[in-house]
Amino acid sequence: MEILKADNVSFSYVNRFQKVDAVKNVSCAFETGKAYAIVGKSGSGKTTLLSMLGGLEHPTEGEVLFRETPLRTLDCDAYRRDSAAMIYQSLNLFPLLTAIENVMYPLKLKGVPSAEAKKRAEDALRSVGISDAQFTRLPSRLSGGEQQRVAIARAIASNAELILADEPTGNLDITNGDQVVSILLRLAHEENRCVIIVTHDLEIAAEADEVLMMKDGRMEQEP
Amino acid sequence: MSPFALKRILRAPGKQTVALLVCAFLAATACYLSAYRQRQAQSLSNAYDSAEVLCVVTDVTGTQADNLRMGYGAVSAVTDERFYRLPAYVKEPRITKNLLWNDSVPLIAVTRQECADRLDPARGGGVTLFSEDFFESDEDICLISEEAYLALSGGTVSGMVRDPRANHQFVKETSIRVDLTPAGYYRGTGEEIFIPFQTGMRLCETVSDGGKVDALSFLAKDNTKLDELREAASEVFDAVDPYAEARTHSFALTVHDGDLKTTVAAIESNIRRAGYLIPITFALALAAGLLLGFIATRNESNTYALMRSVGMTKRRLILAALSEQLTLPLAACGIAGAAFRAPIPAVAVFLLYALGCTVAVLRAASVSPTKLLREQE
Repeated sequence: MEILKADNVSFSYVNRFQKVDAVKNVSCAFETGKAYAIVGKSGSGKTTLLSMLGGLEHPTEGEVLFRETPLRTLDCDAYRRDSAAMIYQSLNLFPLLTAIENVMYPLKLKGVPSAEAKKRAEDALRSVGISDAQFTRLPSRLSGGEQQRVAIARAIASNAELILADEPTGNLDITNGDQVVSILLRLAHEENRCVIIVTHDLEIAAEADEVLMMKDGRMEQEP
Repeated sequence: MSPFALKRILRAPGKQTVALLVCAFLAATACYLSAYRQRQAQSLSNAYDSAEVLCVVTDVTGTQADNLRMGYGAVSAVTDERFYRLPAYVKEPRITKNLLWNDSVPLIAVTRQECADRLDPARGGGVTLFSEDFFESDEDICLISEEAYLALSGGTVSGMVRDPRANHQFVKETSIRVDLTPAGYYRGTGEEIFIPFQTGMRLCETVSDGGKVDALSFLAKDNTKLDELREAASEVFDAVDPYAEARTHSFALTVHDGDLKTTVAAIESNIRRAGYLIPITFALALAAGLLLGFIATRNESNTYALMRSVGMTKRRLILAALSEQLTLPLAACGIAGAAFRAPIPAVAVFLLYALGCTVAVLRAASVSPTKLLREQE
């Protein structure tokens, strides 16, 4: 079932020196139960496209539609709280909160009672292989792979239908990277979520159900 | 507040320690300066209220204050509000008229204790009165020395009164006989006899031409209006001129306000200095808010981006960031305000610090997570 669609979207911004057309006339659609990989070199516009899909930016042209409703007309903060979870390469966890507090954070934002938030956070952490002893550790005392898994647990706990991951394995070794990717694929295939992974690693892309290639802000191959 | 805000503050106390110390210092400084300024203003008010500025009528050279033989018009100039402006600025007029008792003893008519050294405790004298309204009386009563009073053992003093400087061509009698009843005594020995001023004036109607008085001084009623007093006095008295020739019927008024001026100038200087420093403290609070706010939010930019990406609204992010940045400064300013019992400067310091901090937080909150990601990429 189609959940998210980019309809001929473009995005431009002005940096210190010039106008940059980061994304140009991209159209693509995403369904639940599938994992997508958006691949491309640095500066190809992957992250900008992901930001538009996550409602952090609005396209300068075209529309991003969530369940056929333009994101522009939705409360994008609520959209990210309830429907779209984002996972980054390094900006993932609040450094002063423990693993479980990081997972509970969006739940508390939504107003979920503390006891329920804690239960959901514990379940989510266990489902990504974080041991109980690590629940109360600060991110600085977790490995990179564990940090990424905590970030995924946060997405799981919030019951987001969409998981948008930006280079989730970028800082990880092969073992940890594989572990993270397999969890993301499991979320797509077993929990019927839509997982979109931005990566420049073609091996990861090969494991996705569909691959979108970006080059110079344009989509080279549509799903 | 954002979720777990207190935990985040407590787990990184060092981040807020500088803000805490800076705010505590600035709030304490502003409170101290404000309290100091209030104390100085109170001191100024006390100085004006408690200082006794003596104004003495002299000859035009300013060298002679007794035996002036002023007409009674000079007395009117400082006491009669119907015709002169000066009496509005005058209190406790001290007037003396020198007469002679039995051709050898000074007989002095006075309006107040302060007219004579023997009577004035401030100048080593002292007086015991049997009736408190002695100086307002016009009866034939007197003050003599304690020694003379004890020797008199309850009787009256009798003698002849005359004005040694009267022009007897114009007076009814050269002298008159008077029986004076002691109404008190002054400390120690001495042959002077003091009588109430009104009594003296009554006697003068017979033995003196025009009731001329010999010394006239008074206290300024309101020490904050000494300039107005001088201006009103200039309508009646000449200016002091040390090189002028003494002239009959010309008198000057000397206002002894040098000590008051010195005191007031010192206090006003302190008030002015505090007046400069308080706004500087407030400006420093604003600058500290900006600077520390920028430093703190710059270090927190990743956290703010993450908060936005998990669905925190921009408004809530700003409030969360402000609450985190301002909790400890608020406590510091509150403690300083309570310690110095000066809440207003402490509140002002906090508000200015908060204003500076708000600018920094608004700037940090407006950076989009995408931009941060793009920079990292």
